[in-house]
Amino acid sequence: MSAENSNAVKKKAGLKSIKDEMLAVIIPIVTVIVISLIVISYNVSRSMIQRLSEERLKASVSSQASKINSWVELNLATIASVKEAIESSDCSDEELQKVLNSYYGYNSDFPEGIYVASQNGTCLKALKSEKSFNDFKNSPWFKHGLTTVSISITDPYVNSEGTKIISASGLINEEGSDVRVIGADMSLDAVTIIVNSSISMEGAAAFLVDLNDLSILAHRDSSLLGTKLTDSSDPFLASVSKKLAERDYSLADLNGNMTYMKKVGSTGWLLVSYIPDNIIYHDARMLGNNMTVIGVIAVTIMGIIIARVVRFLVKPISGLTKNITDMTSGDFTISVKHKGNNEIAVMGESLDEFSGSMRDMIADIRQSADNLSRQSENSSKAANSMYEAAKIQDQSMEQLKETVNQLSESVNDIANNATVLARVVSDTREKGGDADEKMRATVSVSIKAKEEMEHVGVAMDKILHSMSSLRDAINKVGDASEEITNIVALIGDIADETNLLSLNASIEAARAGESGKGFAVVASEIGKLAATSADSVQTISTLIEEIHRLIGAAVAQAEESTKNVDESSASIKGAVDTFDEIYDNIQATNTLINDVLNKIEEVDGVATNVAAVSEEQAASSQEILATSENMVEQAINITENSQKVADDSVELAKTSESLAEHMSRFIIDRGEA
Amino acid sequence: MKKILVCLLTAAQILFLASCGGKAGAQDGKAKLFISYTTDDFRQAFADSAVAEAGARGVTIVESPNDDTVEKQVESIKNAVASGCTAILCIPVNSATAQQLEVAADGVPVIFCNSAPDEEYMKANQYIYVGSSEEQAGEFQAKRLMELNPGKNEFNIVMFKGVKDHSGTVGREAGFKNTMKDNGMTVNYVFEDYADWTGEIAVAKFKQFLRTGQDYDAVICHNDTMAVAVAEYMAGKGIKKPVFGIDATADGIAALEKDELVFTVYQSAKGQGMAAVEAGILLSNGETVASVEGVDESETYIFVPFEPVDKTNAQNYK
Repeated sequence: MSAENSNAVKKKAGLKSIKDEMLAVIIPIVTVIVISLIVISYNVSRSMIQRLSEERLKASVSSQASKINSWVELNLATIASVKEAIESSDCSDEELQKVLNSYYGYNSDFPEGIYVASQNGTCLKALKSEKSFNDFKNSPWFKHGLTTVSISITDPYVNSEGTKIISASGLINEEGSDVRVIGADMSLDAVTIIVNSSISMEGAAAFLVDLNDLSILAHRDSSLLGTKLTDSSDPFLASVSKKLAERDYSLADLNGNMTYMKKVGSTGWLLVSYIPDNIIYHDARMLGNNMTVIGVIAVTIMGIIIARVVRFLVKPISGLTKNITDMTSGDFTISVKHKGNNEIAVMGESLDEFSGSMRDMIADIRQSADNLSRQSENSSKAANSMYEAAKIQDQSMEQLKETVNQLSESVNDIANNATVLARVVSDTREKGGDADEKMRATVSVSIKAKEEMEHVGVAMDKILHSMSSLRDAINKVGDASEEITNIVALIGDIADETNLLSLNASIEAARAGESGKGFAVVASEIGKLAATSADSVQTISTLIEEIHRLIGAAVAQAEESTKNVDESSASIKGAVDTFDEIYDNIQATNTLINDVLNKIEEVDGVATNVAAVSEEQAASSQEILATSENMVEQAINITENSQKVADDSVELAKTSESLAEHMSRFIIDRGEA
Repeated sequence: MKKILVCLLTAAQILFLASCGGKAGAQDGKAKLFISYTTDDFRQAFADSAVAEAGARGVTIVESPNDDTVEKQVESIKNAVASGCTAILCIPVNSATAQQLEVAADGVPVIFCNSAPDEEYMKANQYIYVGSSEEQAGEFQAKRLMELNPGKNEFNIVMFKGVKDHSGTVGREAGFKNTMKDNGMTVNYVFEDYADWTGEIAVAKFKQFLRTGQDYDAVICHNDTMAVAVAEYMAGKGIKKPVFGIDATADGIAALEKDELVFTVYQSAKGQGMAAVEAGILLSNGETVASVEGVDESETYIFVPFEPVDKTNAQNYK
């Protein structure tokens, strides 16, 4: 497991490390900054150098031009002073000769001294002078001298010795016909020296040009002396020539040279000074190169330092990374080393704490999962039991509900009955009062009845006597009815004969026909009469028999009555006794009834209470009924819930098993790995 | 961010209003010019023109016409600045003192006139020059010489120049010589000397020249003073050679009319005075001189053109 982890770490670390990413960001930024610094400082220093160079070149050219001009002016002034002296003294040739002698060697710039020549051919020069006056009238110095009173210089020319020189010459201001020119030859060496050696700017070069014909008067390259710029094949000189042709003497960069030119006073000369750009910018380039080298070194050192620092800083992170990777794969047995007091150390410390608490937690969870699993099995069982119990309860509750229902009905009945009872008792109480009164009446009646019973005994004796008389009378009626029976038997015989006669008469009448009709009617009537008489005889006979039987019964009855009266008399006597007892009993009864009445009062209260209580009971039983219905529902719910609990606890059992399985993947003890 | 923007806008508005107010305040009537010069014909004409132009524009102008030394000129410029002048018009006693004059002006714009200081002391819209292109004068002389001698390719010339190294001298000499050269003329300067603008020296040197007996085709002078003097001398001697002057001074015009001079060049003192005032007002208002006629690209030089004058138009320049 840990081997896999470390592989994973390596694999991940192989993709991109923080160190590389930081270096990939920092190094380009640093590089860009350094490059920017180099470029900016190079450009700034380059433009500064350019400006300074321009100033220096201008200053150098001005200084040189000024020197050349001064040199020229000085020499002109020297000659002019001699000229003035000559003019003012109006001296003779001998005196002039002396003056010229005295000026020989006075100034190295005109080594042949000052000389004077006149149009009439007289030439004077210092004795030591080697100046040649051959064909002097055509010489540039003499011709020039004729054109100016003020001493001024000629254009450069080649003298008889083949040397390029200039001369300073002028008319001697005097009266008279002879025209004299004073002059002196001046070597251009001094000018050349100034041009070539008085350049105050290092690396710059200069040359002097005669603006008249653009010929070069002084140049380091002596081969160029006397050549014309316009003829030059040198690209730089050609570009200078082109610029001069435009009479543009401003500072310019010509052919890679910073070039500045200045007229030298009124000499008609132009001093051109130039300095190659690569010399000017040499320092800038040096600076640039140095800065580039320093920049590269700085970037490299910075890179190394940053790499080191980052590695140093990131080192704990790689340890943490491994630890975290281990933890990710479930290994919490790690122990994180943490040194120092920075964020990473805090991170390590926290990770260590986290790992520890995770270990504890996982252990707890495992324990809990086991417990949970066990408990869930238990609870599953319990839930099943509960389900069973709940089902039973459910049924019981149903029955209970039925029972309560019945109870409720019964209580209702009781309540009704109690109400009825109460009412009945109430009535009874009222009637008990009546009974008391009736009882009292009864007592009085029974007293009266005993008295009357005693009267009845007396009357009974009289009845007994009358009964004997009646039996005798009835016996006499029996005798009379015997005789009537005889007479009726006679009448019956007559009626039978009459009926036979009427039948005969009717047969005869029918035979007579019409004439017998009337008679037939009488005959039928007589027949009917005879039938009726026979019926009546029959009825009378029945009646007599009945009477006869009734008399016998009456006699028997009379006898029986007599006997009964006898017995009644005895009974009446017993009845009187009985009435006494009844009276006593009634009295006792009366007392009892009063007691009963009192009890009934009590019963009335109780019955009323019972009715009220029964009604309350009825209401309560209704409530009990409702409650029991609720309880039934609850019981059903409990059943359902316990079913769910049972299901859930099964699920829980599964889950806790799963949890236990998951938790088993965490390693919190080295032994496990 | 919005607040900053609002602040900036407000500040910009205040500045704008202030600058408007400033402009309104420095309108033509508020600019106060100062003019320092010494009198001669030309300079007086210049000053008169400037005063007239300033008056026409309703601008105050203070004259200091007797600054004939550098010290006086510096002092009067200092006083002018102290009294609130907004631009200095100055014909320098010596153009080499330009830097000193600029220091005296203490930041107030200076319009140099007539004599141009060295280029390095000039600064665009601050230290400017109003004058005429000296080279143009020489150019006009050369052209007229050639016109008068059509077909002639070779000239013998006597030239009397001004003071050595003076800008007028250098410019006029270069203008003449370059024009002749550029037109393929072979010019033989049989006499060429400085006469320091003065007739006496010119005549004296002319006499010396005459002793040499050289032939010549014309006498070219850098100003009318020398030209008139030489021409008068020539007239006295009965010499008939064309004499060229510059400046169209009263004497020059008179000499033209007497046929002693053949040609002169009018340097417009009036035009320069007007241009100087125009430039002075613009600079007082903090504007540039770009709108002034004859200004160069660097806005440092305002050249009022010369005008060629001969007998035919001489009466215009009296």
